[in-house]
Amino acid sequence: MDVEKIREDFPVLQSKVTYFDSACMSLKPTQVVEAQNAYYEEYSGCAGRSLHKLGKKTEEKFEEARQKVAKFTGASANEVVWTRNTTEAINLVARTLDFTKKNKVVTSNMEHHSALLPFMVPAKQGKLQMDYVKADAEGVTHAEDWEEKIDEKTMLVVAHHTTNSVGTHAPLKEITKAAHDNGALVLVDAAQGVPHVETNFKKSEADFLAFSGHKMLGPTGMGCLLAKAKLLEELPPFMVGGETVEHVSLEAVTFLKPPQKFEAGLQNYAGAIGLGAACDYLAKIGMRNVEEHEKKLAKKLFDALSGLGVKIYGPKDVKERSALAAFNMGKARPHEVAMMLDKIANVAVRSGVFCAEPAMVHLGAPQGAVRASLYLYNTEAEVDYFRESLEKIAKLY
Amino acid sequence: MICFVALFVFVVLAIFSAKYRPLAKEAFDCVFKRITLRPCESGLDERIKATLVSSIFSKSPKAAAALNKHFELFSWALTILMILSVAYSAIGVYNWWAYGNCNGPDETGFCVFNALTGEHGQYSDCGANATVHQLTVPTSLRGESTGPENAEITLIEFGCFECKYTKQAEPTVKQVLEQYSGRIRFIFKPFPLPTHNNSRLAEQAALCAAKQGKFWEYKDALFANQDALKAGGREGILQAAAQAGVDPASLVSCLDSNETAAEVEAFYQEGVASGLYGTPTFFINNQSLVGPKQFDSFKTIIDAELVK
Repeated sequence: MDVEKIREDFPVLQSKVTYFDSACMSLKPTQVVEAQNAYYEEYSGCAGRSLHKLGKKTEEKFEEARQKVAKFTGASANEVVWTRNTTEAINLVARTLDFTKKNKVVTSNMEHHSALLPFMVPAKQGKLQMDYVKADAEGVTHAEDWEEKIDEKTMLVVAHHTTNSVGTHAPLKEITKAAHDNGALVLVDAAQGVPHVETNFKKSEADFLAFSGHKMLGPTGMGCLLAKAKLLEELPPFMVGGETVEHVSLEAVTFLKPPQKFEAGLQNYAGAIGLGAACDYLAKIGMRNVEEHEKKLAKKLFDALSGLGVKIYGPKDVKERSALAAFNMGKARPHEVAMMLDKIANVAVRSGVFCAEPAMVHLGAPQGAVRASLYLYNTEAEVDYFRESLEKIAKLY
Repeated sequence: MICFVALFVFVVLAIFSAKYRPLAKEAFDCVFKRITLRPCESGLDERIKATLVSSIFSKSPKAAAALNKHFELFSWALTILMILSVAYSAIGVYNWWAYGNCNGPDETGFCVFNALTGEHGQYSDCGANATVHQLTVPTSLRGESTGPENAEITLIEFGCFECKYTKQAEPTVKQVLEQYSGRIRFIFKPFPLPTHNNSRLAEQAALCAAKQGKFWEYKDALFANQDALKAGGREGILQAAAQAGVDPASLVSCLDSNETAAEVEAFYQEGVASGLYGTPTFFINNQSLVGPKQFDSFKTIIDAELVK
C-alpha cells in the first residue's frame, strides 16, 4: 500500500493540512468527486421513472452503486437500503421494528447519541425498556456483561462496532450469539467499522448494520442500512411517498418490495454513485491493507501521546484500539488545544464529547477531550509532526 | 471575564455587520450565565483565548505562553479598561449635553460630537464661539498671499498659530498649493482665538515679520514651535523668530509699539463677520471647509471650481 501515492488522490491534502479528524468526516479522493460530478454533468436524470436515455443511465448507475456497496460489505443488493446516514438507518429500525411483544432494548453506555436517542426517546414515553451494559474504566464492554443483560425479553441489541470516542470494539460475535439464543435481533452501529476493516454482513450474522458514506471516503448525506432480506420483508415502510409504492388508489396502497419500499422520494443518486465509487476505491486498495496500515498508525499515535504524558482515554493495549485517540493535556481545555493545533500547526482534530456524552462522562471526561482519528491517507511522519505540535502547545501551559 | 469584553465588542460590530450578531448573542448568553453564577458552556471564552494566543504564537511564543497562563488576569484588565472607557465616554456625552463640549465646562479642546453639529461635517473648534453660524465668504482679499492674483482659485485660510488643528492642516494646505501651483492664490488671514492666551501676540508678531518680508518662514516656524508658544508666549515668539531668520530687535520693537495690533483686530473682526466658529476655516472661491480636512476634500471642491 503506497500511502504517498494514495495521498495524491486527495486534493485537500495538497493544502498541507494534517488531517486527523476522519472519525468525523473522511476526505474525498478525486475518483469519488469525479463519479458524482459525472452524474451531474453527463446523465442527470431520475432513476426508475423516466424512460429516456438519461433516466435509464441514472437507474443503471444507481443500482450498480447498490451492487458495489453490497459486494463491499458482504451483503446482497436487496439487503442494502439507502439512507442519509447512520443516524437515519438506526432510526429506521427504531421506528419500524415491532416492539409490541417484546420491548426491551439492550445497549451500552459507550454508544454514540445516534444509537442511543432513537431508543431512549420512545423509552421515555414508556414504549420501550432500556438496559445498559456498562463499559469498564477503559471504555471496553465485555461479552459477559452483554450476555447478562440479554434475555428472552430482549427484542433488540444495539451495539457499536467501534466506538467513536475511544476506538474500542464491542464483542460482536458473542453479543450476536447471545441475542439470537434469546430470540433477539442485533443492530450494529458500524459507522466507525465499515470504513476501517473488512466487513462481511452475512458472516457477521448481525440482523442490521448501519454505516455512513462520509466516513469512508464517500459523499455526505449518504448512508446505508444493511438488513437481512427476511426482516426487510416484514418491516413496514419507514417513510412513505413517491418511489415506495407499486400501486396507489384512494382505497389501497401496494408497496414495492424492499429495499425500495424504504426509500421514499427522489433519491440521492449522486450520493449513491459517489459511495459506490468510494467502495471501488477502498476495495482496490484492499481493506486488509487499510487495516494493517491503521494498526501501525494506531501504535505510533498511542506511543507518541504516551511519550507526552497526556491523559489518554481508552485501553492501554493498543491492539484493542483503532487508529483513534481521545486525550486531554493537563489543565488545557479540549477546545483550546484543538483550536491551537489548527491555528498554530494546521492540524485538524476534533474536540468535545463527540456526540457520545454518556461515554465521555463514564471515562471521566465530562468536559470532553481532544480526538485524533486517522485513516488510510495519514502517515507516520504526520504523527511525528502532531507530537511536535502538541509539545509546542504544552509549553504554553 | 473575556465574555464581558466580547459582548461589548461584538454588539458594536453587530450594529454594522450581521455576521457578528450570533457571536453577540452567544456573548450575551455567556455574560448572563456568569451574572447568574452559572458556568458559560458555549466555549466562547475558549475560542477567543485560543484565537488570541495562536495569533501571538507566530510572532512570540513566549508572549503567547504568558498570555495563555495569565489569560484571566488579562481578561480582567481588559474588562476594567472597557468599564473605564465606557464611563469616560458617558461623562463626555453628559458634558456635551450639558455644556456643549464633551470636555466639560470652560474647556475648548476637540470634541468628537461637534462633528455632528458642524455644518461641513468634521468640525475642529479651537475655542471660537461654539455656536454654529452660516459662513459668509469674506469680501476682502486682504492678508498675506502667495500665487498669481488672477488665479482661477482663491483659497483663503483663517488660522490661529496656537491652534493645533490649524497646525494639523498645514501639510494638506502645502500639498494643495503644490498640486495646483499656478492656478491657485492662497491668502492667510490670522485669526486670534480668544481662548488662546498667546494667539493675538503671535498674530501680531507674524504681521511684524511680514514687514521684514519673512511672513511665510515665520508662519512655519510658529507652527513648528507651537508648544513653546503655548508655554512661553513671548519666548516662543522669539524662538520662532530666530529659526525663521527674523530680526529679533525689529520684531520686539514692532510688538512693543503695537504696530500691527489694529491689523490683527481687523482680521479678527473680518472672521467674526464671516461667521467663523473654529479654525482653520477655508474658503475656496465660494465654498467653505472647516477643520483639518483631507486633501481629497480640497481636491473635490477645487476640481469642481476649475471646470466651471
